[in-house]
Amino acid sequence: MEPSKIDLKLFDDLKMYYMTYSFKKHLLLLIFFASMTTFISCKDNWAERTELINKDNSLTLLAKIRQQPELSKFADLLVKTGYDQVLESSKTFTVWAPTNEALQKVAAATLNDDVLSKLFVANHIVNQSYSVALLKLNNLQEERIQTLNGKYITFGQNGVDEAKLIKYDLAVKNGIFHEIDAALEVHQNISEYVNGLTANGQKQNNFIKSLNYDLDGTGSKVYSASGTRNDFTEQIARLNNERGQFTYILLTDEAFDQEYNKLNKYFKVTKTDARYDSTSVYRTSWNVIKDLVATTIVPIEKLGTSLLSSTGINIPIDKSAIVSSYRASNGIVYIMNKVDFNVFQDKIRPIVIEGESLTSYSQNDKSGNIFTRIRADENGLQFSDKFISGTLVASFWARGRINNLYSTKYQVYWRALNDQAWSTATPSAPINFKQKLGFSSAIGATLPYVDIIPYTTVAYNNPTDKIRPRAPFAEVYLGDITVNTWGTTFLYAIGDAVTNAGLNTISLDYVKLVPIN
Amino acid sequence: MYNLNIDIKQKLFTAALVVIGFAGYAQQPDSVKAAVTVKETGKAQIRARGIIKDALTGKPLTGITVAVPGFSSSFTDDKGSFSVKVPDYNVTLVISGPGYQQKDIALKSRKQITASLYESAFNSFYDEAISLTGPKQLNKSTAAISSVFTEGNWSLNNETPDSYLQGRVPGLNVIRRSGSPGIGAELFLRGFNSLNTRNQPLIVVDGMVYDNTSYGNSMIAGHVSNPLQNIDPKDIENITIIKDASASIYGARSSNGVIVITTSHAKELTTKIDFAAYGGLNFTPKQIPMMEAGDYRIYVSELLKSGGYTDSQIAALPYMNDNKVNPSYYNYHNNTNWQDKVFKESYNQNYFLKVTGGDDIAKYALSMGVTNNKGITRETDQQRYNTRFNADFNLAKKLTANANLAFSYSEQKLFDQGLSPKTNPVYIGLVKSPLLAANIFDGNGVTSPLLAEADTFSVSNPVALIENAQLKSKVYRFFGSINFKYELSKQFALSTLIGVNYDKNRENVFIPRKGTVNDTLSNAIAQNRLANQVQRLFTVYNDTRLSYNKTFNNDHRLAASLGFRFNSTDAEQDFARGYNSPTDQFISVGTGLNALRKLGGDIGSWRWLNNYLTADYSYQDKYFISGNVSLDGSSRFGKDALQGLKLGGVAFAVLPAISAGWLVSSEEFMKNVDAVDLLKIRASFGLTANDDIGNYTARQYYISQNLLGMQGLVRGNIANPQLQWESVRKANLGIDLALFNERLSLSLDVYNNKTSKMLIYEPIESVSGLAFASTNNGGMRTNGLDLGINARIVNQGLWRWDAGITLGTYKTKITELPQEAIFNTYADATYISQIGRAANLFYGYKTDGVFASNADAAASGLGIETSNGIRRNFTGGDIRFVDTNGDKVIDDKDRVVIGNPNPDFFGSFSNHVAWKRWSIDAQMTFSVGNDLYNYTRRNIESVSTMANQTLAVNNRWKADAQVTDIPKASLGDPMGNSRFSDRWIEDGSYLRLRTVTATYNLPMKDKFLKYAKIYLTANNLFTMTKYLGYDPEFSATGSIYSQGIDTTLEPQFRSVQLGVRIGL
Repeated sequence: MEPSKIDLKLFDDLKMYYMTYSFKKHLLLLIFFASMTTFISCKDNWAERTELINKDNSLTLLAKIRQQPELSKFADLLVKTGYDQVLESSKTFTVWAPTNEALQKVAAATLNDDVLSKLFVANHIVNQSYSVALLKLNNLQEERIQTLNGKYITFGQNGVDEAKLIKYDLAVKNGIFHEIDAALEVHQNISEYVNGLTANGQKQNNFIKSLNYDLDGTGSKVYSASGTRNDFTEQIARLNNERGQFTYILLTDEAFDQEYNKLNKYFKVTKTDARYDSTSVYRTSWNVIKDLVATTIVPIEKLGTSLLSSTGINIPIDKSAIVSSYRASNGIVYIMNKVDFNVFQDKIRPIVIEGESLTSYSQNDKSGNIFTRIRADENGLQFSDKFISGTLVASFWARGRINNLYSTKYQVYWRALNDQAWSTATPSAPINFKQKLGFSSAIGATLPYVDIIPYTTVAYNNPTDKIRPRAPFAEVYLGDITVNTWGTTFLYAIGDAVTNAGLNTISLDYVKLVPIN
Repeated sequence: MYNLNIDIKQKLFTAALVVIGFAGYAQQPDSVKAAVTVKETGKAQIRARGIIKDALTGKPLTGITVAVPGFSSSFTDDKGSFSVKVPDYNVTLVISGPGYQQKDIALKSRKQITASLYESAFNSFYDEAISLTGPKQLNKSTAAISSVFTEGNWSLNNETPDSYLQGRVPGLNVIRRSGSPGIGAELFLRGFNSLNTRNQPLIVVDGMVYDNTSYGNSMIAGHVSNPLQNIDPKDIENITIIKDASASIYGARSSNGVIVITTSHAKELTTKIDFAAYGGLNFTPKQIPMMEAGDYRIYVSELLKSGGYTDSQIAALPYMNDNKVNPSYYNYHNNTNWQDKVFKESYNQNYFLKVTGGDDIAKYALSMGVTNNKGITRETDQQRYNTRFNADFNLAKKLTANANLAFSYSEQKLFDQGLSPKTNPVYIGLVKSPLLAANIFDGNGVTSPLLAEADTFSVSNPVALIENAQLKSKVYRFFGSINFKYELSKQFALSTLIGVNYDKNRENVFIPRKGTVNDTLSNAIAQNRLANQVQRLFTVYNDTRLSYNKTFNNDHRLAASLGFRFNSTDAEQDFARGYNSPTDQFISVGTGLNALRKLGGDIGSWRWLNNYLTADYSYQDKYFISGNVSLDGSSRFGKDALQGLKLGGVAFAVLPAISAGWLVSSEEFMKNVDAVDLLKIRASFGLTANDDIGNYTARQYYISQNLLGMQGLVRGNIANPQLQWESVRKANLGIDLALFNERLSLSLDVYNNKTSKMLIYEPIESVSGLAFASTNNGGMRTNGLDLGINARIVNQGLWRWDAGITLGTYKTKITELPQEAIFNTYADATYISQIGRAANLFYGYKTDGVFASNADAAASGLGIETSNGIRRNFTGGDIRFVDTNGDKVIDDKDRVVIGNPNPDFFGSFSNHVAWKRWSIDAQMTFSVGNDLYNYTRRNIESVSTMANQTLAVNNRWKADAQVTDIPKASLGDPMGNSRFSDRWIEDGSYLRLRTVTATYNLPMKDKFLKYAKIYLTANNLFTMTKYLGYDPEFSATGSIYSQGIDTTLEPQFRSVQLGVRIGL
C-alpha cells in the first residue's frame, strides 16, 4: 500500500464527517473536550504553596532599606560605597541603618572620602542576623559584634554603641535591619589613636615603639624600629586587637619621668651588655609601663580610686590627673599627668626563691639523697620543699637562679623544716643541723654584692604526725644583703662542713628577699 | 483555606453529571420496534419467531444463530427473521453470531421477539467470566464477580497484569508501587481483612495458582520483584475477579478474593500471524520547586547561626567564603539543579509476535515479546523477553489436553529507592545542596571530568552514584502446566492438571566509594558496598477433579465438581554482602574485605492440600443456587488449631459457602417491562480463610546467633501449636441491571467481611527473651460497596460512544485485640490500630500554626521535656503543637489520630469513542479522601537540616510578629518542630487521565495483510491532585502499615508511544 492512499482516505473520512454530521454531534464532542479541559486547567499546587505570605521575605536588605523614606541617605550611601551589592547577596546580614537626620551630624569629610565612607558604612553592617528578640530570649544585655570593617560594635537591647534603636527586628530575605538615631562612627583602636598622638605621652609611646624586635637565626631578640614583634604587645596587651576591650593609661612625659625617677635606682646596671632589654633604661621604663592596662572598659564615670591592671596590680587613680580621654573602638584611653605608684607595694616587690627551684648540686652522684618533698605546715597548707640528707659530704650545696634582682638592700628570710627524725632512718633522735646561704658564689665574694649568710641552725621542728608531719615553724630572719647591680644571680644553699649524716642536712622551703630601701 | 476535597468532589460530580446527562440522552428509544407477525403452529412442534437486528444500524442481520441449548437451533435469513423450535414458551433463547455479542432472551411466554445485537466487544452481562471451574456467563452467576476481556491489550504498553487492572474492576483498588518499569502494583480487593498477613488476592493463571509473593527482601532498597511482570498482558484473554465467599473453594488462600487469569489459545485452525512494534517516550516528572543557590545560602547561614555557630565560623565555611582566590571557591559556588541530574527523558520499545493455527489434532498459539523500557531515573532500564506456548490437543476421542507453557527473562538496572538517604538518587536529587557541582573544579574554575566526592553536608553525589553504581536484577520464570481431560460419559468428566513453577531471581549490587557517603557497620566503616543474592522458588501443583454436568427436562441444570488441589512450594534465598573492595574497579562480593563479609539466607517450604466440592444448580435459567465447601490442610497450621476438623492428627479448615441468584427479568411478569433487559438479585455467604501465618510460626524453631565470636543456636520463637488460619466470613448482596436494550447497565454490590482469629504479634514479657508471640487473638471487619456502570451514550450512524464508571468504597474497623492498641512505625510515622477504629490510622501530633512571637510562645506556656528531664519552652517561630491533654508538655501523650490512608472511595471513568476507522479510548482513575504522609516533604521542609529545602521554606519565620506556617530555621530541630504531625499529612485525592489511546485501522486493499492498525497512546497524561510530591500514587511495601507513606520512590511519569500492529 502506498502511503498517499492512506492519506487520501484519511482526508476523505474527515471531509465526510464535516459534511454529514449536524451541530448536535459537534456539541457532544465539545462537551467532552470541555470537561477534559476543566480537569486539566487545575491550579498548580506548588505555586500556591510557595507564594510568599510575608512579602518582606522576598525583599533583600537593600530593597527594604530603599523603601524607607527616612533612610534614603543611607541607601544612597550604600550605593555609593558599593555595599548595595553586599546587601543584595545571598548571605545574611544585620544592618543598623542611621536615619537621614542622624547622617546629617556626620562630618562631610567622612562621607565624601572614598575610603572613609566605605569604612563608615561597613561599620553599620555585620554578618548574620542579630535581633533584640534573641538578646531578650537569651537574657543578654548586650553582645559585641564585628562589623564588616573589622571593628566591633556593642549591640544592646535598647541600642548599639551610643545610638538608640528607633525601629528594630525588621526581618527581610537576607537578614535583619534596625533603624538607629545616630550614626556609628568609626573609632580608631587604642593603638591607632595612641600612635597618632603628637603631643602627650611621647615618652611612653616612644619606649613602647622601641620594644619592636625580630628574632635572629639563633632565636635571640634583635631590637629595631622595623621589628615585627613587640614586647609590650606580646606580654602586656594587644592594643590593636579590635576584639579586645581595654582601659589604657597613657602617662604624660612629666608623669612618666616622675615614675621613671622613682624606679631607676632599682635597675642599676654596671656591666656592658649588648642587649637592649638588659639596660637600666629599658628595665626602668618597662617597670613604669607594664602596669598601665586594664582588660575591661571602665568609662570615666565608673572610674574609682584604683584600677586593676592586667598584671594584677592596683593602679592608683586620681581623676583630677586625667588630662584627656578617648573612646577607642576597642576601649578607652586616659592620658594622665600623674599615676603615683607606691614603689614597694606595687613595683619593687619581695622576691621569693622556692627551695625546690634549687636544682643543681655540688656533686652529681647524690640524687638518692635529694628530695623534693610535699609537706603540710601547722595550718594544714601544703607546700613543697627541698630536703638533702645523708650525703656524707661536707659543705654540700644546692643552687638555683634569682632573676630580676633589683639593685637595693634586702632583708633575707628563710623557711626551713627540720623533721629529720621522721624522715630518715638515722639519726633516730631529733637532731639540729646548720646550713647557710650564698649569693652569686658558694665560697666567697667575687662580686661586690656577694654575701654569705652565715651558718644558722635549723632547729628540730617536732612534727606531731608521722603520716602528715606538721610542725609549727615560721620564717626566720637571717640578716640583710645589699645588691648593687640589677640582674640575675645564683642562690646557694650550703650544708654544714661536716660529714656526719643528720648534721650536714640541707632543708629549704623558700628564701624571701624583702627590699627595704 | 482551599479545600481540595470539595474541589475534587465537585469535579467528580461534574463528570458524573456529564455521563448521566448522556445516559439520559441515550435513553430515548431510537430503534423502531418492528412489528412481528406470529403464525400459530401445531402443539407438537411449537416455534418461536422473531427478527434480529444490528443495534447500531438497525438493519436486519443474516446468519445469526438462535438456539435453545440442548434442544434446537436455527439461523436468521436475509431479512433477519428466524423461526426456531422450542419445548415451551418459558425457555431462554441464546442468540449469537460472528462479530456480534451473545445474548440470552427469555421468551416469558412470548411467541415472537425482536432483538438487536451489539458488536462482540460490547460490554454486557451475557459476557463470560472464566471462573474457578470453567467459563460461566455473568447473567447466570450467583457470585460477586467481574470479568475483563483484554481483547489482546494491543494498544497499551508499560503495563503488567496488575497495573493493567487499575480502574477496570469495581472494588479492586490497584495502587502502583512506583514508576519503575515492571514493578507492578498492590492489589487491594475490597479493602483488606488482616493486619499482619498478606492482603493481596490469590492469582490463578490457567488453572494453576500463580505464586505472586516476593520471597525475602530485595538487596536493592525499595525494589520489589514483581512476579506478575512475567506475564505479558498481550497473552491474556480474560481476567476474572471473584470478590465474595464463592472464592472459598480455594480454601485458606481465598480470603482476599481470587483473580483468575486466562491466557489466549488458538481459536481457529488457519495460521494467523500478528506482529506489533511500539516505540515511545517517557517524560520526566514535574520538578518540585527547590531552593536555588541564593536562597539556600541564606537559609544555611540562618540555620548555622541557630545552631550556635559564630560569625567567624560561618564565614570560614568554604561555601560562605566568596574570595575567588580560595582554591575550593569554584567547587562551592555553583547553582546546580540536581533534579535535572537525576531524571532524564527516555524511550521505551516493545515488539510482539504471535502465531496461531493448527489442525484437528493440535492447535497452537506461540507468542514472543521483547521489551526495552528505560526508566526516568538516568541509566535505569528493563529488558524483558517472554515467550509462551499454548496448545490444545485432541489425543483420543474422549481424551483432550491443553498445555500452557511460559518462560520469561528480565534484566533490570535500578537504583536504591525509598528509605535509603545515602544511595537513593531521587531523594538525593532533592536534598543535595545547589551550591555544589557534579564534577570538581580547579582553582581557576576549570571543570574536570573527575566526579566530586560526597559533599561537606554528607550527601552523596548523585551523578557519581548513577554513573558508577551497579544494581541489577535478573529474573527468570518458567510457569507451565498440562491439563488432561477425559470424558467418562456425557455427564462425567475427569481432569487433572499438573504444573510446575520455577523462578530464579538474581541480584547484584555494587555501590562505589567514589562520590557516596560511607555506611557505618557495627565494626567498620563501609566505603564501597557489594552484594549478591539468589532467590529460588520451585512449586509443584496438581488439581484433579471429577465433574458432572446434566440438564433435566430442559429446566433443571446441575453442574458439580469434586476434587483436590495439591501445592508444594520450596523457596530459598541466599545472599552475600561484602564491603571495602580495594578499588571501585573490583565489584564482586569476593573482592571485599574478608573480615566484613556476611553470608546469610532463608529456606521456606510448605505444602497445601485443598479438597473441594462445588455444585451449581439452576431452574429454568431463572433461579440459581451454588454451593461449595472445601477442606483445607496446610503445613503451616498448628496441629492443635482451635477451629476446623481434625483428621489423623492434622487440622483441616472447613470452609463452606453458598450463593443464590434470581434473574427477575426472566419472569413472566416482567414481559411487558420493555426497558429492563436484565435484572438479577444475588446473595452469597460463606467462610474464607488466610493461611499467610508463616511457614514455621506454629512450631518451635531455632535461629543462629553470634555471641562474641561464638556461633550457636537460640530459640527463634515461642511455638503456638494452636496457631491457625485467619477466618474471614463474607456476606455479599448484589444487583445486576441492564436497561434500554442494554444501553445502560449497572452492577451494585454491598458486602460485609468479618475476620476472626486474626493473626496478632502479641508483645510478651521481656524475661522470655523474645519480643512477641504469634496468636490468633484479633478480629476486624470490612464493610463496603462496589458499583460498576456502563453506558452506550451514542449509538448512531458511524458513531459509538461507551462510557463507564467503577466505584469502590470500604471501611475497616478493628473488633478484637488482645491489647489496647497496636502501634506500628514506618518512616517515622506511627500507625495506630485500636478497637472500634479503622485498622491503620496515622497517629501523631496536631499543630496549630507557628508561634508568631516569643511573647506568644511564652503566653502559651508550652514546652517539651528533653530526654534528660530538662524542660525547654517553645519560643517564637516554633510550631504550636496542640496540647491535647492540657499538661503544657508536648509529648507522646498528646498524639491523636491525624489521618487515614484508606480512600473514601476510588474508581475510574472510562470512555470509548469510535467513528468509522477511528477510535479513542480514555481511562481516568481516581482516589478520593485518602490521606498521605509526605515523608519526602518532611525532609525538604524540615527547616532544621542542611538538606536543600523547597521554595515554601522562604516563608519561614524570621522575626517577631511574622504570621506564617513554616517554622524558623533551627539546626538539629531541638524542639521537634518537624516531628510526625499533621503538617506532613496531605490529602492524597487525585484524578488521573491514566491512558488515552487513539487507534486508526488502516483500510486494506491488499490481500497480503489482513489488517493494520496504528495506536497512539499516552499514559498518565495529567494528574489532578493537591498532593505536594511528585505523584500521589505509590506503595512502599505491601503491608497496610506502610500504605500512604511517600518514601521518595521513583514517581509515576508521563509517556507517549506510537504502535503499529499488522496481521498476516
